[in-house]
Amino acid sequence: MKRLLYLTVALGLLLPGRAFSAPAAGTNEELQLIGVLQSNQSPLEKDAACAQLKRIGTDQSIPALAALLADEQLSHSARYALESMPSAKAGQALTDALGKASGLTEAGIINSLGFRRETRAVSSLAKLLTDHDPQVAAAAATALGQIGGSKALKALQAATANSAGPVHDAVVDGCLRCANHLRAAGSRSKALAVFQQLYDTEKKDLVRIAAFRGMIQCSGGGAVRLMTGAIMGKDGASQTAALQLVREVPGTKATETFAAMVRKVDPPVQVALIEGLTQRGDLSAAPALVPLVTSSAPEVRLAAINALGILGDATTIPLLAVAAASSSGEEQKAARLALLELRRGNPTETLLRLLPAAKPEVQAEFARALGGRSDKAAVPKLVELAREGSGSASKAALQALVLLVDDSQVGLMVRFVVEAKTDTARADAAEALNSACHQIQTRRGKVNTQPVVDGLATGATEARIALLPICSGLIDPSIRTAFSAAIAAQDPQVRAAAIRALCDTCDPALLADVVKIACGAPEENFRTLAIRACVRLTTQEETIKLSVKEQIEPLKMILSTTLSADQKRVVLAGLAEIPDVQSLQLAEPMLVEAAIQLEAAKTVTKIASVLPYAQAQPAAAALKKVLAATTDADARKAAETALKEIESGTDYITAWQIAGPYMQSGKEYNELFDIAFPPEVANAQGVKWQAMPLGPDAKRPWVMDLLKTFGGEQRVAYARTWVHCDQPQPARLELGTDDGVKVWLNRKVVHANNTFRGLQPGSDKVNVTLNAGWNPLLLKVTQLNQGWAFCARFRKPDGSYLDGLEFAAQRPERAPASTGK
Amino acid sequence: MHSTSSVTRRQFLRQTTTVLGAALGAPTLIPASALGRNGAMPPSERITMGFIGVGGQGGGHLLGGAWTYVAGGYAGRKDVQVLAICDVWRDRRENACKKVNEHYAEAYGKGNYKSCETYTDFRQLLERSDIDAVLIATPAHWHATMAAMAAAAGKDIYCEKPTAVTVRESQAMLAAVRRYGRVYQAGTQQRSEYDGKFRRACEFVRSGRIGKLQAIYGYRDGGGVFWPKRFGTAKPIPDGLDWDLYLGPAPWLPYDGNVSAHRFDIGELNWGQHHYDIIQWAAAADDTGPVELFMENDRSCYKYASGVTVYGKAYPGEKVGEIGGACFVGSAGRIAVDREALVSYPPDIVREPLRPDEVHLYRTTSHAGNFLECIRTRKQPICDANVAHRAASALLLGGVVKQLKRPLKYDPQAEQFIKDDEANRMLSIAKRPPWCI
Repeated sequence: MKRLLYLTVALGLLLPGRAFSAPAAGTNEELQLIGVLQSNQSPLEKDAACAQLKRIGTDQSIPALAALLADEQLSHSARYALESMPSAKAGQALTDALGKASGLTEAGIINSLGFRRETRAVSSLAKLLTDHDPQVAAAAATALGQIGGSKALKALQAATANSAGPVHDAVVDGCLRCANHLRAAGSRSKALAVFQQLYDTEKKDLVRIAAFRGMIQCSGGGAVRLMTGAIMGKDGASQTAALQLVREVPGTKATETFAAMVRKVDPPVQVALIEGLTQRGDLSAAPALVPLVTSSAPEVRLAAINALGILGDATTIPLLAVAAASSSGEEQKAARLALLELRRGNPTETLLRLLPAAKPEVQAEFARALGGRSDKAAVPKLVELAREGSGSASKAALQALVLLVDDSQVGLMVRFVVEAKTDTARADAAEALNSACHQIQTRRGKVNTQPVVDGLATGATEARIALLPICSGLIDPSIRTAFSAAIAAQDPQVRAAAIRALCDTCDPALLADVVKIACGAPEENFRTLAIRACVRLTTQEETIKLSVKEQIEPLKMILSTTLSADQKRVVLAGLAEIPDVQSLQLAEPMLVEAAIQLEAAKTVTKIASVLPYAQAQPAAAALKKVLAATTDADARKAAETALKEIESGTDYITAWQIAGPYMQSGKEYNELFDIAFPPEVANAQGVKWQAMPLGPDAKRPWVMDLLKTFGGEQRVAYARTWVHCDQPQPARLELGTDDGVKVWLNRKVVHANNTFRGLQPGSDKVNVTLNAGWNPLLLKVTQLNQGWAFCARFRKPDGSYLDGLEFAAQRPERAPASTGK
Repeated sequence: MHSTSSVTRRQFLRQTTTVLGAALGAPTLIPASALGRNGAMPPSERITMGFIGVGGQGGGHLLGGAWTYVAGGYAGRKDVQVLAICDVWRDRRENACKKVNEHYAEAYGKGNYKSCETYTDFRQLLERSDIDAVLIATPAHWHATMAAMAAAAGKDIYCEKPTAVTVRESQAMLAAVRRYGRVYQAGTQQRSEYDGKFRRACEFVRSGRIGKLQAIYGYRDGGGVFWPKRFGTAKPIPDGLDWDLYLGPAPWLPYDGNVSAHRFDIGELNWGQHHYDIIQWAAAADDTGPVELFMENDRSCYKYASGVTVYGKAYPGEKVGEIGGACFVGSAGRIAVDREALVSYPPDIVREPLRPDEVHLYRTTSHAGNFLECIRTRKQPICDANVAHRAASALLLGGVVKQLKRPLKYDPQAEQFIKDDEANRMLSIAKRPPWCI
């Protein structure tokens, strides 16, 4: 009965829905809980009853709760219930309890009175300000501050003169709280007087900052004057408080005053003022900040530039552009960002108007801003600048166009390449075209390739050579055709450029063309390039998804030709990325070639170590070949580790049934550990056992993933299997669980580890005895959160392989082994 | 009138020099000769910090590590000097402190730095007047209480999420930060980090790229803390652990071996605030919160006054959003974001860069850097106390409806449930003395 009651109420806050409460009279449930409080039941039961009364307690439960307030053990439990009860009687009970407890218990009662703002307790609390126990005195001061009002304030003010240390700090804090209550209630002049007194008399800067802050907030129309004096003055406390409030004091007049002040103070204060003005968001401050962009203090310049990006308008553009062009680092970054973010006064129109007459370095900044501002109206002027501007301005214009052009303007960008008069201009234009194509591809998912194809067909040799690399990034049938034509070109320069570009392609449909060059090009350098391209396209490009067959076939074809050792190394690198038996078979023969044996060994080891569990046999065989072939210590060590890993996983149990999940309201995983749910109760009915699928990790399918099956947090599940053994023998059960685990073998608990952790196979090792016949094995695995899994196997007590075991997920028809004695 | 001498050089620069300014070179007021070794800021200009809680999370902040977005940790920054480390585990604090001191000895040379000290009790750390800021990465039930006490001790604060475990303590934390005028940054770094994915997603949503915002799928639902079983068999407290300070404002209970940072959590208390922080940002709800809460298929959900519904679950079939993110559904498309990806349907929605005339939100690319910059300039950080309070509230109110399992109405201005005493009682939990907020 007691246990049941506790379970019901211990986690009162967690209990599911209950009817809307605060009834005037107690319910039967409340009467029962009151009965618990008034009985001689244990503190555990009484605490649980308090927790429940926190939510449902009425006036009727207050006397029983009040009786516990002086109880050192249960006072906090009673306060937990009483403190948040709206009834005035709860406040009265807490007030009446003053003086009936001492030390921390009394401090707790005082805290609750403060929280409730019990004005009836003020007189009593005032007396406690001089209590011999500093914890009680400090609690009283805080409570009086929370309650507020003239009586509380008077008591606190009186105490400021005769208190010290932490009590004095609490008294001052109480005065600040009272003053803030007055301010919030509209009694500004009274509040101001309190703040002023604290500012004048207290020694600590932190208090004086708080007090001056209050003075400003209470000063209404006089606040700005007060702040001005403080900011211009020498007192650190008032200056700090004033600077922090620059952002908050309302009114354009205030902005004007602060803005007028900004040039009269020293740089560090200037920075703080600028930040405050920026956070005010009042645009009228902008003109005052303009001169500061050329301040001699770098931190002031930076703050002013940042501020103008937010507060400025189009008139600040020349200034910001010059700043961007003439500075570097953070300042340049800020100026460029400001030019991008200006919103007022039609900045784009201004930029376009100023563009033609500006100096080249400033033109470059204008162009950069026009591009970043995403206004397509800028395209014609930028085209003009790209064509006719000086070097840096022209390049900046091209880069700006990259951000603005759309599919219909690819031809425009191609023309810059075709019509370029110098190598540098052509290279800049090609780079811009490439970026533009990439930008359009990213935004729209496709690019109009026809202008590029046309340029390739009609352009001069230099233009064709410049345009071909751009084709590497384009995926379109017309580009494939263009590649074919260029590779067949008579001009060796065009052909070379085409092959190089082809070897950079990201189009998987061109793989066959690349293979053709890899296998049959007369030039060895092109063959090598193409082999690399094949490996990249088949194994490294994230966006290309090929089947294993499609990955392996090109490499197989390449391997069928005569290759240099270097070329074979490239192919091996590709094979290493294809986790399949076929790639293993292609790599294995190269283990006997001295020049590439090490690379072959590494490749075989890498493939074998990632093959799925089902292919453990060929993987192990290949690793044994590596060990037979190589003498390199590192390669042998890697192969041995992989082989050990494969062999160590072959005896984990994969035949399981599972049941669950089991949980209980308010109980965490570690509490559920010791709660007996049906699967662990003898002869329990209705347990729904289900087959456990293999784990999702192909390398370790014996790691059983409960999270995938059941999901969730704060719960447990059970797994069972039967182990057959021909004769009784000692064994070692090796477990890994996420999180805790309890184990029954032949219906007896053989292991319990109530913990939370990630899964580590073999983290728990338990010596057990297997009986002859079938041995039922039951695991209970707890779940805190995130992963939830287990694995288990039997080994000999010395850890070596234990042969001859048989497992059955379902209850075998034969009788279980006798438990033995 | 009390007369304070003119503000000290260190205080002055600490409060008013930008980090970026420092990055550009020495501020003009600092003579170059004052620079420390390796171009570091001289000790007098560095922000001094104390770390409270140096387990996995706090240790990552302090020293860097696989999970952290602060490369090299705060200890590795040239503009920070770590002076104190506090943890209830002796090994943790001593190991962390040793590493910090070794790093400083290597970076600045022996004798050229102020040694880092260890503390078991964070109150002693807060008493140090030479510490500017604290980073709180303790168990969750401590966060708001410690943050409020740090504010009252005049420290600026970086506090891990969840920033509070009840709505009332969250309010009190906010009040304390405001009362003392402290800089507060919540450890919801998604507004700053991850290549700006979250900011861009919120800017796109608020710029109307998906049309009228209708629903948000938050992937995680509400959370809170429970009142634990207080009496039972005690295990021996391990040597080197201060169990009393581990528990702090939580109810006293005998040591039982569970010293988890989240032992009192229910629901999604640990991760939820990351998600709700972004939801609040996208919904332009940083100053407000839910007006109706309800359960749907065992997950807490709510509505804003704007009519936008927030579901505490995944958008069907959408994987993006699980890691701290959300999926925003509008009348003309949807956007899903998390730490790994930002996607939209149709895809163009997120591919077109934000135009100048669209909504631009607070931009920073370093959460730690933003915190330090705000310490120097006193401007408001990106995840200020109010932002933290409202995001935590969205999470914690979800925790209440999750426990009550019935629809609730909430007044986000008054910050209380409407005519629902039972729900209102669940907005607070009495703290164990002497702790109060």
